[in-house]
Amino acid sequence: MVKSMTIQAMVVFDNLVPYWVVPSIIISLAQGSIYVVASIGLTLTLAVVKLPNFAHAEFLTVGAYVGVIVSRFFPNNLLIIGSCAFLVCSVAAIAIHHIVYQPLMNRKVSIYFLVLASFAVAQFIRYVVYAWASSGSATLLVANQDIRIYTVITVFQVEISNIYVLAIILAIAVSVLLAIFLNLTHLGKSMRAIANNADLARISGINVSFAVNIMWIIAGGLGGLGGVVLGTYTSVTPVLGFDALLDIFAVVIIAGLTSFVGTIIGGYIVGFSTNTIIEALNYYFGVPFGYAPLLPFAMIVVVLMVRPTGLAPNSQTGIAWLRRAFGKGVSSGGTN
Amino acid sequence: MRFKFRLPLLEVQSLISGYGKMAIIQGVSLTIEPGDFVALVGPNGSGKSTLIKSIVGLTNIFEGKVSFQGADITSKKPEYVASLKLGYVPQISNVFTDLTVRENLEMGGTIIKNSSQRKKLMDQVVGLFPILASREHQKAGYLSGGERQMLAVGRALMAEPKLLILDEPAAALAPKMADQLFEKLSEIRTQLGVTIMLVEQNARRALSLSNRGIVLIQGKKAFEGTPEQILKDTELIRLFLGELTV
Ligand SMILES: Nc1ncnc2c1ncn2[C@@H]1O[C@H](COP(=O)(O)OP(=O)(O)OP(=O)(O)O)[C@@H](O)[C@H]1O
Ligand SMILES: [Mg+2]
Repeated sequence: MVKSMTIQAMVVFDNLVPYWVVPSIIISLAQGSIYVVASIGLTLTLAVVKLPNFAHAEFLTVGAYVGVIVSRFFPNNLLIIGSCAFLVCSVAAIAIHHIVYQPLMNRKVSIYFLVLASFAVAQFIRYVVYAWASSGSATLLVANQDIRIYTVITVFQVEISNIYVLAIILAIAVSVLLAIFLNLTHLGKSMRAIANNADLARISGINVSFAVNIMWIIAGGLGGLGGVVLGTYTSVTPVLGFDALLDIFAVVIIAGLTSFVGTIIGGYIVGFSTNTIIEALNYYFGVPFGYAPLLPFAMIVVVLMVRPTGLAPNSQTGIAWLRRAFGKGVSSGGTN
Repeated sequence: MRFKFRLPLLEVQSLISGYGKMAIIQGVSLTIEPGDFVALVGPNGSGKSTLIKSIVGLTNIFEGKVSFQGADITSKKPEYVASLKLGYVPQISNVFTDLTVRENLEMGGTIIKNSSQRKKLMDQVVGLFPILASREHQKAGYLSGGERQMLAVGRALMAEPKLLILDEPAAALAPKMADQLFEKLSEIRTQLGVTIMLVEQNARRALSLSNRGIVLIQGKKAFEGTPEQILKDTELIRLFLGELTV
């Protein structure tokens, strides 16, 4: 009796929902989760140091390559692989800050220079990775992480593999831990205070340079983690991060640049748009799949035109801030 | 035999400072003794805010010296100056609008490392401004003007300052709200023993609270003396006319 009802339900379900929908939703969720992990560090960077760091995507590349190397010694050991990627990219992020961004900020250069500098840093990292990967006997220009992929559960006849589950759990864990950190710890609250009003934070005795270092550890580290997860889906190449750059910026622009909840929602919006939505457009309107990469582009333009604050609740933050900064130069503003 | 030196709390010597390469403050000297309530008055644009920002480390100092409790704080970082217990309430943007009232106060207490001490200070501030308790979990950006100024003062008090510098805390307040706030300032001075330097547009009101007044005009100290002396000086009043309510 129970069994026949289940079968009946499934038949109804099959008739109502096209065959591609369930797997597509799962892929969308997984990819959205990767976007969340890959983008949330950039949101943090934008909020705390007001820098649209175009080199953020390179953390993904570096993290994925760390995954390739470490997984040779510790195959399938996600904890060790993830920790190493986090660590290496944290160190890289702090180094870049102190070698490039901080000296420029000390000179109170305008935000244009910082953006250009971040482009240069990105290019530099990409070519160093490229040079390193193409040297040596066995080329690593197209490499793979040694992580086994297997089916964990089957839902509506769709097999769900461990890496999908991993991505979704990681996104939830990262979001929850970051929310706890930012809302319940003194250091986390200090970071929000700096993001809100840096001069007032200093006046309140908050150690801004310490908080900024911690910010880079988190931002770089999460970029690295995002790279490892992305690297479980695709081959690892020197342009792994660069190829994701636009999607990541689409996510943070939808988020209004500095909203964390917005970043989580934005991650899934882009995840769904590049999977389920384009598949639906294809199924119902015959839109070719080749248009999928255009959707994040289109979203950036639409968000900037229709609601430049993105999902951020007010105009104090995010793009409004950047507008003012571009009008004025980045570090001249402050407390009267 | 032991000599006891009484250091001034704050000492500014021949200060020249401003923004970028532009000097706004042009050779100002002043001292503040423990227990003082000093009113800093002067027309709009005379450099009152700039002088204060120079003391706390938010401007470029070209010449001169600033010391607080004997420590040289000339061109030191604002976070260092704050750690010496010099409290400052800016003229604008003086609360963290995206943080809750409670979080604002917690941020104010950053330099207090002992958590039971921090809790004690929090109770003290909330005792002084009970309205803050009822708004505890509200974002500071949603407070009314008066509540916001109280939070700004409360935030500064959380660091248990020896000297509290307030830049026109009542500027945008209705007269009744302003009176309330000034009552609180007197309370802070008498009950908590905090030395106060107050910038205020309404010179008569500021001088009625203070024991000493400093008049700043075009980046220079034009006069310093007791409130009575300043209010009696017809030349000073003439300079203020149209700019200040005396
Ligand atoms: N951030 C800044 N950059 C450059 N110049 C500034 C800046 N802030 C103030 N100034 C200039 O410095 C001068 C003094 O300004 P300041 O704000 O110190 O005056 P004030 O006495 O506080 O005036 P008010 O009573 O209106 O608050 C003014 O000419 C002003 O234009
Ligand atoms: Mg002023």
